[in-house]
Amino acid sequence: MMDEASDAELWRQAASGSDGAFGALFERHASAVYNYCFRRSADWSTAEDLMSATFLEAWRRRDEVRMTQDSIRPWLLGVATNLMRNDWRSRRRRDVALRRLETLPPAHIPGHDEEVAGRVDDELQMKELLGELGRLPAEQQEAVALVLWSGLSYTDAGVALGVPAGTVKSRVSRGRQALMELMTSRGHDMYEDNALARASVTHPSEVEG
Amino acid sequence: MKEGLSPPPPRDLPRARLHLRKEALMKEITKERKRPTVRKRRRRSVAVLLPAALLGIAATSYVVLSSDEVVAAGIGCFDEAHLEGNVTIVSTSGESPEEVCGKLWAEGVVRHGTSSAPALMPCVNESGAVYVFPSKDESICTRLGLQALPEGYEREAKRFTAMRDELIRRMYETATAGPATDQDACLTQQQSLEVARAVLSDYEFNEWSAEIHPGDYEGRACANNVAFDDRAKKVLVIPSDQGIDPDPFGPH
Repeated sequence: MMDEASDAELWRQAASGSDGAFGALFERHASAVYNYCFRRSADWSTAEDLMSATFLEAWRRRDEVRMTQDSIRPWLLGVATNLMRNDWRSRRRRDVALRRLETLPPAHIPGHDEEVAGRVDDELQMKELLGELGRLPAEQQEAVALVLWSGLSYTDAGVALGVPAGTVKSRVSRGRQALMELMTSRGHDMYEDNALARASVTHPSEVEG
Repeated sequence: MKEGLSPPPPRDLPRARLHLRKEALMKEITKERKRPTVRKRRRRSVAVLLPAALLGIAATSYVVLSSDEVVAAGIGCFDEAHLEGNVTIVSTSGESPEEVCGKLWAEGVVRHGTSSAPALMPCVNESGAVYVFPSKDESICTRLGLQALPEGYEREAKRFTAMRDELIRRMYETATAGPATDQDACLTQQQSLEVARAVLSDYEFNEWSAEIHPGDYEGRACANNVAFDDRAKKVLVIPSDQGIDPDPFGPH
């Protein structure tokens, strides 16, 4: 059963040409990629496009991946990170992927008005948060988004970013410090229920060396 | 809205929507599988176009005028009328994108062996990056999911070029203002930042700022290189090991 196969097995099958295996990986990780893209773009619609572009790019690069971990998710978030970088190659890859993928009509989110209003609120909240994060160097932004917001360990974030875990750790540490200073200067309550309050205690991945 | 710096909790894409996305993705994958597998290796090259008067200085002291990070201050000349063609990236020179790429076509830079430029069409993507394609088709920008060059682009490009060239001149003058020595001249990070801020102010780039490039440059004594990120509106001073040759035109 595809549902029970490990990521490594599905990826091996996908690389050998199994569309079914790739589809199963999409089902398994689409939500995580979608939410990560939202946290980097503050726009649910853009996040949806980027999610699709990430999987298409992942499929194109299927021969490059050597699975060394149980989950393909860190690498997928790395592909998404690359697509969202503000540089020439990333923008062109993104342009090509989005042009290739069939244009879908704007999403109509069925259900209660509450859900629609909630998504609008999410976008406002995320824009504000990205405004603060945007004051940090790009590599710290990426590390914070992957570790503090998406829950990757330093090792997994290292896989996503192609750098050693120790480098991720120091980027997160510097980013967290800078964000705390920003927050303090704006008079936020340090112990409010927010990312920094959570970040001010030990992150699970800090138990790594 | 809830105050604080917490990202909103995750949400799922509605099941039907996810299914549509999956279908579109699998359809594209099937199409790609059917395309020829031998793909031309893409070439991507960077050329720095500067006035001759600056070239000697820039070649020895100032670099990274057109890079991945500063592409909006540059132009991408494609050798084919699609986004997957080879691309030569050049820094903005103040001329129209067609003229800039036209010269590179005529020199055989965009495509080896050519000595004249075809009809060229400039487009911009949503981030402001300028792409120039060999095409007569006026609808090419729309066809490729891009937009036509906005009105006023050339005026802004000229204004940017004047500021950039003056910054290079002034950094060079500042670095070489002291008594001549055999040593390469060095600007400190602070000096470079001061020069950059003064030039930005003089040229009324009031939304721009100057800062040190956020890389790991420990132990790099000089700060003579600059990059321009016109999307973030920043001049980035890049520390380096190399100083400025005080006599770039002299014998070496």
